[in-house]
Amino acid sequence: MSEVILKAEGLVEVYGAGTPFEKTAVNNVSFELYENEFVGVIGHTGSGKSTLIQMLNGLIKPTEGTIYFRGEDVWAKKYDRRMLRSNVGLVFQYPEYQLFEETVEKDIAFGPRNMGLNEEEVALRVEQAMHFTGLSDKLRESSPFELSGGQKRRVAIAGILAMRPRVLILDEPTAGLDPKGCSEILANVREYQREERATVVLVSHSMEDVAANASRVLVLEKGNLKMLASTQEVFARGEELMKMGLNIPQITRIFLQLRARGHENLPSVLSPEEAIRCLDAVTGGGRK
Amino acid sequence: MIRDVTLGQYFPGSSFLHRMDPRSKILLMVFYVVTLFLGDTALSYGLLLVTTAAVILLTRISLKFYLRGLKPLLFIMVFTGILNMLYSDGEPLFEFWIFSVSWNGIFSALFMILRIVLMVLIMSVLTYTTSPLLLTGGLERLLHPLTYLRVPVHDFAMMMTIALRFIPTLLEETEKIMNAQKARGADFESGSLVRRAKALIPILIPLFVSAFRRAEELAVAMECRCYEGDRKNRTRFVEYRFTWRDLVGALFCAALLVGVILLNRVIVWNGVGV
Amino acid sequence: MSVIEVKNLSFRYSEETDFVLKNVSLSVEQGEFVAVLGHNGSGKSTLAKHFNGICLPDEGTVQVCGMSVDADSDLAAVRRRVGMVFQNPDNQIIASVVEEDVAFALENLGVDHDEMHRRVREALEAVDMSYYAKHATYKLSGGQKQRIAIAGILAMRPDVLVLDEPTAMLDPKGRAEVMQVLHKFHEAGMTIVLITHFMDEAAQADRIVVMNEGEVLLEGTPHYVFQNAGLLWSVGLNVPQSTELMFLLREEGYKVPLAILTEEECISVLDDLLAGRIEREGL
Repeated sequence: MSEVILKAEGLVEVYGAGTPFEKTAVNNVSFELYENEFVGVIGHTGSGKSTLIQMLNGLIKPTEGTIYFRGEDVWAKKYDRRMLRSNVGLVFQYPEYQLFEETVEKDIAFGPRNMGLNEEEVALRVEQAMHFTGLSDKLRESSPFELSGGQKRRVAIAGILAMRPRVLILDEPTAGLDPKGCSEILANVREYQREERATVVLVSHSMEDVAANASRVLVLEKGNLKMLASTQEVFARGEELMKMGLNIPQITRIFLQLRARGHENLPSVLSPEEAIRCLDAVTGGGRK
Repeated sequence: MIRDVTLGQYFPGSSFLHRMDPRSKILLMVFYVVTLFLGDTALSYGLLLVTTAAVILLTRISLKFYLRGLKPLLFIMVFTGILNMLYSDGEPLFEFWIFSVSWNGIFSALFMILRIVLMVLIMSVLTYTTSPLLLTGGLERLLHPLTYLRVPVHDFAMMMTIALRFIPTLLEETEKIMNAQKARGADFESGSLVRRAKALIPILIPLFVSAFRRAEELAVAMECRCYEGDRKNRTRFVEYRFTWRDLVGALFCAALLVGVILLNRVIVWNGVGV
Repeated sequence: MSVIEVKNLSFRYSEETDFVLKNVSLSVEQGEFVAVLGHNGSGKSTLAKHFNGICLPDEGTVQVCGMSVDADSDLAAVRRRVGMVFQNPDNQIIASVVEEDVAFALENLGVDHDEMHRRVREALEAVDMSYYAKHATYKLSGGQKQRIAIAGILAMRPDVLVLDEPTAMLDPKGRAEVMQVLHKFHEAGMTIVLITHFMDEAAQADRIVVMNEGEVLLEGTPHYVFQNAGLLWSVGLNVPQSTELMFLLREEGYKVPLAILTEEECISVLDDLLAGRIEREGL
């Protein structure tokens, strides 16, 4: 078992306390994240996902509860929360809207420079981050504003990777991208996770993406933590998810319905490849 | 923080004031402010205070929002108040250094603060009860005669409409960008003034880029909806019609003016009325 | 009758750049629901911008509702017939109040007061947003904003509705809301052109046009287009998982039909397969 890297204990976030607009965005949420794991976070718009992830890197102070990074309370008096933000990197939705520098290189270097690293180290980090996000070296001197939408997104993500976060949180990193762009970005993220042995938290509306990448899934509904279990287990509870108005991968849904039609020996599957293996096993086919 | 700014905000509703014609609301507000500056005794201010309170109650918008609207002006109010107190004639009550404070000064300071408060409140009443579109529409129509002097009244009104529409969007965007840069280790809270000003660059540039992109897209979207500027046969969704409400409002303001002028002449306190 | 008729259209944004559209021909029939599918940069949005004269052809011709769209045409007249909805709902809402925004086009067209109010009411009803008529636009959800934008176009009573990735920035709920509205319009006889890169949305159309590198790559019914999964993959597109599964089963030698689109179709094929009713090669 890997070690716990981030721990949330009884997190509560109340907005506008004492006003008629009082709203509990996150309600008593506790969980642990382990080193080098890939966790998917699913839930409706307004389920508290974005509040929760901003609490994890110290941008929002929880009304109640504690967050521990490597065992240390991040809201303790002398805790360096700017350092925390480089350790727990957060890629916001549509991160390309935060680009501001003249060149791609300078923009990616913004994070590492804020960390107070020396120029040599900054240059190294920039190079690595560009490699992880599949940005060609030729783009170094280009203006980030002249790139295509997909490339801008990569530069923005590289800006976070260059801080070399131990936990990488991504809020809808593929929103608005076409299928090819989506799968490339997710492959980049997986590569970062593998090479840096980092923890990844992926917030997504695409159940197919979550199913294909995450090993555990956290389900939020109206600020409450509804499920936290292996991806298999969570999507096997497809009917519950659908009752919450959440979707499940199409292939999982198809297999659930086949089971309801009497094919009870079928397991729950997460991808078409897995579905093929199951069908082969059940029909006793075996490979040619 | 940024969200505390309420002036210029609109609270939908259907109160008496919401349903008045925006043109008469604008005119009557100007009239009211003039009346406000005519008042100069405790009694006339009492009357103005009571009528303003009544108008605020009529809007059926929580008092809290009005108070919040006053907050950003606190400094200006205190500053002008103190200036007024220190620089007015009258029998000195006490003196220190080069200043002398008199009853007269204290009262004129109080009146000055009251004037500003009431003025802000009545302007809030106008913006809180009138949708920005109605407000700019009303202004456009009131200023229409200026088009004969080749003033592009319609264009200004359209610019206002769009600016008002995008204020909340851009505020939200500012907050998002700030958080995104904080997540990259940006520090807006410490360091010298120069450093802090420099720290704003990562916020301002993305904000400008985004505002220009929005403007471009909006322009295309407006063209797609057949917008061609101020065409002759352009019609309006909101037809402005004066009703009995506007008559009541006008009579109310006229009565208020008469009341203030009359009360100004009643001297209750020696030295207070001039 | 063709509502949109594009012939040999070529276009580039400036003389120094490459052609974004290369010799594209396409027609859309009255009452048809056409999806234009393609990856980012395939030219699909640029094509859409020719339908109401935001872009004008460098070569070739574009005709909508019998009017040709070029530098000499009355673009306001074209735009009244061909309504256009864009990706970012925030950047196409002009007014701060819902009903006033929906009325914007009608104000510009000089529609008289009573007629304008009637059309605004109808348009809001059509997108199921009547309840929000007097609400502030900026407080709505993405899906609601997009429906307001659609209502604003619908109020002009256009002949064709062109939507340029209207769901790209929405969450699943918002996407479903918008698609539902489109189906309702389609059933009522409206011609719809939906630009998208979402396969599940394209699958709901009568016909799909796949764009790649500024050219029409593939065109036909959803069943036909999704049979070509290999080709779609090669140009950076995707197929629904149900279609992908059929594809994989074929590779395994099962004689399953490739033209699978809906979940129901897929389930009934798998039902057959599990019951041993589908043959397999090589066994």
